[in-house]
Amino acid sequence: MQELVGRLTALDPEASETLKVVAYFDVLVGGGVGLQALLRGAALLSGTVAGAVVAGRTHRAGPDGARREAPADGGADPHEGWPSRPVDGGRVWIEREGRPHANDDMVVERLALAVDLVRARHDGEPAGSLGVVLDATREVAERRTALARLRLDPAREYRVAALPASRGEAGARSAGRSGVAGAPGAPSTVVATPYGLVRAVVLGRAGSEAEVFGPAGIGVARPGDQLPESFRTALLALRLRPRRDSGRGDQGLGNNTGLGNAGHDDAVFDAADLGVTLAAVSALEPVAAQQPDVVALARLDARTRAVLDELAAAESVRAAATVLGMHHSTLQVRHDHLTTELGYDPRSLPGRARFLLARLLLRLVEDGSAG
Amino acid sequence: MTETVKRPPFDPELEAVLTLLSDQVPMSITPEMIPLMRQAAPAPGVGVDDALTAAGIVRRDVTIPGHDGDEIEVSVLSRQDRTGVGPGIYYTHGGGMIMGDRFVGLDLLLGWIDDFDAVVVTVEYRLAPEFPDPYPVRDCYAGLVWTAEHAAELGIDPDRLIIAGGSAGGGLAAGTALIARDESGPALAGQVLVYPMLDDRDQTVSTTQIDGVGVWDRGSNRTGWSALLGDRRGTDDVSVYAAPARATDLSGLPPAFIDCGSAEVFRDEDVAYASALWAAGVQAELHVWPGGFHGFDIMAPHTVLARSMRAARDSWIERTLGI
Repeated sequence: MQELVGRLTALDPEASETLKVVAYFDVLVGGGVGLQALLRGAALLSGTVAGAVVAGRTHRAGPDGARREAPADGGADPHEGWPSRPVDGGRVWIEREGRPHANDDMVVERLALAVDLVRARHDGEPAGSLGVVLDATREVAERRTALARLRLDPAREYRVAALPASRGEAGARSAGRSGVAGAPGAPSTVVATPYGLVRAVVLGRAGSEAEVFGPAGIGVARPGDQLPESFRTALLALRLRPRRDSGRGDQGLGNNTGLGNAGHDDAVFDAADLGVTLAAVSALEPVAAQQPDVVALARLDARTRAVLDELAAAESVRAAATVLGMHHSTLQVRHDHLTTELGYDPRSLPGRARFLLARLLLRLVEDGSAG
Repeated sequence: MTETVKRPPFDPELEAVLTLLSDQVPMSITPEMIPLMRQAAPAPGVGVDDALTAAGIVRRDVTIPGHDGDEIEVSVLSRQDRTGVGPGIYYTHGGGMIMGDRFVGLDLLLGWIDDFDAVVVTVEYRLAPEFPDPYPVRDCYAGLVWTAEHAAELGIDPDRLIIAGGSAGGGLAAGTALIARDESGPALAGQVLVYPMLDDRDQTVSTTQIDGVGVWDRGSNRTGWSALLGDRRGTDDVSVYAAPARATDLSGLPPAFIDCGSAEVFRDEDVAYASALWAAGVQAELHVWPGGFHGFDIMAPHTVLARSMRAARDSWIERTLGI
C-alpha cells in the first residue's frame, strides 16, 4: 500500500541483495517480457540508466522507466569502467558513474542472462513447443502435437536434463553452448520453476551423462509423451546434486555411494542412480523439514557433516580417517559421540539408510534454488 | 500456498515488483495493525517541502472549518511564478480511510501543478476509526465548499474546478461529488476517481479473488470499511456518500474518469460505477489495466503499465480542463 512503502527505489548501494536481483529477473523472464522491460528493471534496481546493444541497435532506459536516446556520438559501446557484459551479438551495461554499488555486478549478470533468454525465445526457437512437452498440466494430445513439431517420437524414450539457466554467459541459443556436447540439435528451453529458471534439454535414452557437463540433473527415461515426469525427476536430481559449499564430504557421498559421478558443484546427478531412493525423497519432500533425522543433520556444522559423510561411505573407520586426515582413534571417539547424538550408527546398515535419506532431504531443505 | 480462486495474473513487471515488496508490506492489514501502520509511515509532511521546492512549487497551509465547524487544515499548492486565473484541482488523498495524510500521492499532484499550471487544494480530512463516517466525507465536502468560495483569491477559474482522489480518496471524491450535487454545492467540471474505494458490501468477484494476495487485499479492505462504518458495514444503514457504489441515482454528476487494475479488490465496483454513470447519461472514461495491483502506478512507476496509466489519466484531465 503506497502510504506505507512509497515508491520502489534502487537497491541499497552498500548491501548485497543478490536474492532480490535474481528473483526480479526470474519473474520477468518467466513472464515472457521483452528487452525494454528488462532494461527498465536493471535501471530501477541499479538506480541508473541501463543499456544494451543488440543486433546493431542501441537501447537505453532510465530508472523512471522512460526510454533514453542513444548517445549522440552514435557510440554503440558502453564507456570503459561501466559494469558491462557480453550477450549474444552485443553487450549490456549500466551507466554507473563514480563508485560502484554492491549489486552492480549481479544486476548486469542477470540482465545479460535474461536478455539472451528472452531474445532466444523471440527468435523462433521451438522453445515454446518444448515447454508444452514438459508441462504436466497439458493434455497428452497437446503434448503430442508439440512433440511432432520438435520431431520427437512419442513412443521413443528420452531423458530430460535440467541445468541452471545461468549457465553459459552468452550461450542460451544453441545446445552446443549451453553445456550440452554431442547433441547440437537437442531441443532446449528455459522453464520457470519454483526453484528459479532452469534450462531443460532433451537427451537420447542412453549414454546421456557423457553429453552433459555439470552442474546438471538428469531425469529418468520416459517415452516422449511422458516427459513431464522425466523433467520432474531431472529437477529433483539437480537440486539433490552435491554442492561444493556444503562440505567436501559431499564428494564422498557422491563418489563412494554411487549417487553421482562427480563431487564438485559441477556434478552431473542422475535420477536413475537413486532408484527407489528417488521415490522416497519425492514423497518425503513436503515434510522433509520436520523430520527429526533431517533436523538433527541441519544442526551440524559443515565439518561434522563431512565426517559423517565419510563415516557412512568408507569401508572402515580407519579408511575414513585416512581420507579425512584424522587419527583413526580420534575418529573412533568422534564416531561414538555422533552415534549418541544422532541416535543411530551411520555405519550400521539401517543407520546408513537413515543417514543417506536424511542427507538428501537436507539438500532439498537447505537449498531450494536450482541455480 | 494453494490458490483455489482463479484471478487474472499480475503483469510480469508488476509481479517482479511484488517480489521486492513482499518483505516490506503485510499482506493483510487487521484493525490491531492500524496504529503500527501509521507509525511506520513517514511523519506528516516529511520530505514534502524538499520535493515541492525542487519542483518550484509553493505551499500555503490554511485552517478552515470542517464538518460541524471543527478546524481542519488544507494546503494550497501552485507554481511559484503563477499569475492569473486557471484550473483548480481539489484533492482527497488515499489510505484506506484509516491512514495517510494530504501529501500521499504527491507525485501525481506535482505533475498536474507543473503541466497544467493548476492550483491544487489538498485536504487533511479526519481519519477513521477515531473519526468514523460521516467525518471523512463531510470534511472533504467542507474543503470543497471552502475552495469554491475562495476561488477568486486562490486564482481558480470556478468553471474549471475538478475533484480528484485515489483509493479511499477516490471514494471520498465520488461521495463529495454526490453531496455537491444533492446540496446544490460547488459545480464540478469533472471527477477523477483513481482506483476508487466505493463499496463496503464485500460481495464482488474481485474481492474474493484478491484475498491474501497483491496489495490492499480483501482483509485490508474490510479493516478500512469497518473502521469507517463500524457495525453498519454491509448493512442497510450506510449512506451513498460513504459508499457511492450504493447510489441508485447517478444523474446530474460531473463527467468522470475511472481507472483500476484487473487484479485488485476495487476492479468490479469501479467498473460497475462507470457502467452506472453511463446508464444515468453521465460521460465517463474507464480504464482497467491488465494485471495491475492496487496502487501500482505509485509503487512501480517505472513499469510500462504505470506510465500508460498516468498518461491516460493526464490526457483526460487535459481535455476536461481544456488545456
